[in-house]
Amino acid sequence: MRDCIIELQQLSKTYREHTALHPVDLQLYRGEIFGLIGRNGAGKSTLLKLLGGLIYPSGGSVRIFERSTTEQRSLHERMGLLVEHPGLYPQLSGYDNLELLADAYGMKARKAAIEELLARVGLADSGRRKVKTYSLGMKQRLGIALALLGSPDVLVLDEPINGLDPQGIVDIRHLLLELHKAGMTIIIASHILEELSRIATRFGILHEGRLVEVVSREGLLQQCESRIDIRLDEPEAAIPILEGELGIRRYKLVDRQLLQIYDAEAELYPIHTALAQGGVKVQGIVRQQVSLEQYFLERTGSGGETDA
Amino acid sequence: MRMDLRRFRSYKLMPVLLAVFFGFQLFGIYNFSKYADSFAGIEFDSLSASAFFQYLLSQPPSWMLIYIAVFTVYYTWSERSSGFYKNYISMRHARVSSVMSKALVLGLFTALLFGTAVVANAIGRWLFFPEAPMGDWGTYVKLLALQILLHWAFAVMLLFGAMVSRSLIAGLILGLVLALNVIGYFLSALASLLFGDGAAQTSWWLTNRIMLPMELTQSGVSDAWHPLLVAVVFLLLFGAAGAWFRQREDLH
Repeated sequence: MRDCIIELQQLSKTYREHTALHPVDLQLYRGEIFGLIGRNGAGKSTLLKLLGGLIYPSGGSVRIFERSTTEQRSLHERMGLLVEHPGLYPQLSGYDNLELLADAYGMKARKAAIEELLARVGLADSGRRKVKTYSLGMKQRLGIALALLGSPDVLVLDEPINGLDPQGIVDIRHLLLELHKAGMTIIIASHILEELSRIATRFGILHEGRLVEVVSREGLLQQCESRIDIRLDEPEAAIPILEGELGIRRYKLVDRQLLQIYDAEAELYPIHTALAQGGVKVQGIVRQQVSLEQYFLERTGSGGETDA
Repeated sequence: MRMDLRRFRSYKLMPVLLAVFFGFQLFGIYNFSKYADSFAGIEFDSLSASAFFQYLLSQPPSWMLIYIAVFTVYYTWSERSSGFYKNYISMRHARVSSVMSKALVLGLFTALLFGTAVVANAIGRWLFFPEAPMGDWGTYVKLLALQILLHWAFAVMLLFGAMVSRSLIAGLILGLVLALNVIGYFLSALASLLFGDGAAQTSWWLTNRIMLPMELTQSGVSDAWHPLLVAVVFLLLFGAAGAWFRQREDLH
């Protein structure tokens, strides 16, 4: 059984007349990378700020390790935050920024810990340089180092790859995967779907302040996989032909008329021919390929076309 | 607290403000000696150290208040605009502690500003008014202690103002309005209308109290109660208001 470490119960946030987040129910599990997808203004940052204790909920609650943060605010300190842009003093060095935060944590043996963190995020050589000379990617990495300084149980990252060059994106991805391998629970919000799909183990889609869907990585990949949809009068009759004659094992009977084949090698023409020869009446056969983008757009009611 | 102290030490605006203040303070004393005729009735040569300091503090605009206002607003907003607070604000008691530690840092800056003023006054008087008497040390120390406390209370009041204001510019404007004692003059005018000339009620307003000369005697503390009470009330009131506000504030 999965270990739920964060639970959102009817969590909502309203600013005067504007509802930034409609009531959300969500459970987050230990060791997962939860990807929060949504357009700009969908409510991702609001949700992360509520999780991190930067803002207060208008309704509902956040429960961390089975205790409500309304009763125990200090539970938020179990999280390392990088929300929107990294909070850094540009006139100080990367090392000094970390040292300031180490003061807040009351850390004793800080030098070794800070140097280890700088090395971990790939800033060992530039830790003594002033932050104002850093590139965007270096600032993001330093922001992650700051979030990791207090040895949090959960890392909360908001758009960590925004504005990064391809190498910067790869560096951050490797770092996150490394942290995940070490057992860290990571919540990451982004509108860059392709990148998120490479690291997240579960996804939540936010649209106009509403959590419209939560889907596992496997579920998402299955939905976005290339497949063949066959419309039949009697799908059951097609199965022996598919398995026996064509050797197709990966298929799903969706309903009484629709059968889906997930075999990447399968071709339309041989299937159609074999079924026709076997006396199975085919009403339609079409290859479907839904991109991540389309999948997202369909769920946020923004249209999207299906390739046939 | 240690975090704010470390930041204070590395905050470049602090030595710059102190150096500029030192220079202008000396220049001001030089002007007193050069244009002594313009200050009718003031015998700078005969003023004691405390009387001289009182005279400086009572002259509008109060430069010390302006320096404190600039430092307070910039120091408060530098953390806010950098977003550094996001790294620690979820820690236990961090919201209240961050207000308290900033209030203490402002107290430190106020003390340093007064230290600079004391040194500048001593050098200036030694250079341009060599005959001026030192006067009673006890009175001087008492005056300094009370004024440091009053100015610190002003800084804490402005800390609250800077937190509530939604931008650096708004904070600076508020700081200047308070430092130039606009509210004090308004209250004085209002009190004169309501209670007649010389109404004493407005001496309870902090910046009025700062600019009013204190009639301190050499011994005892009975003459210090009023400024002390004003300083403590404003310190506690705005310190608590700042903590209360930060505790409930949504930090974006």
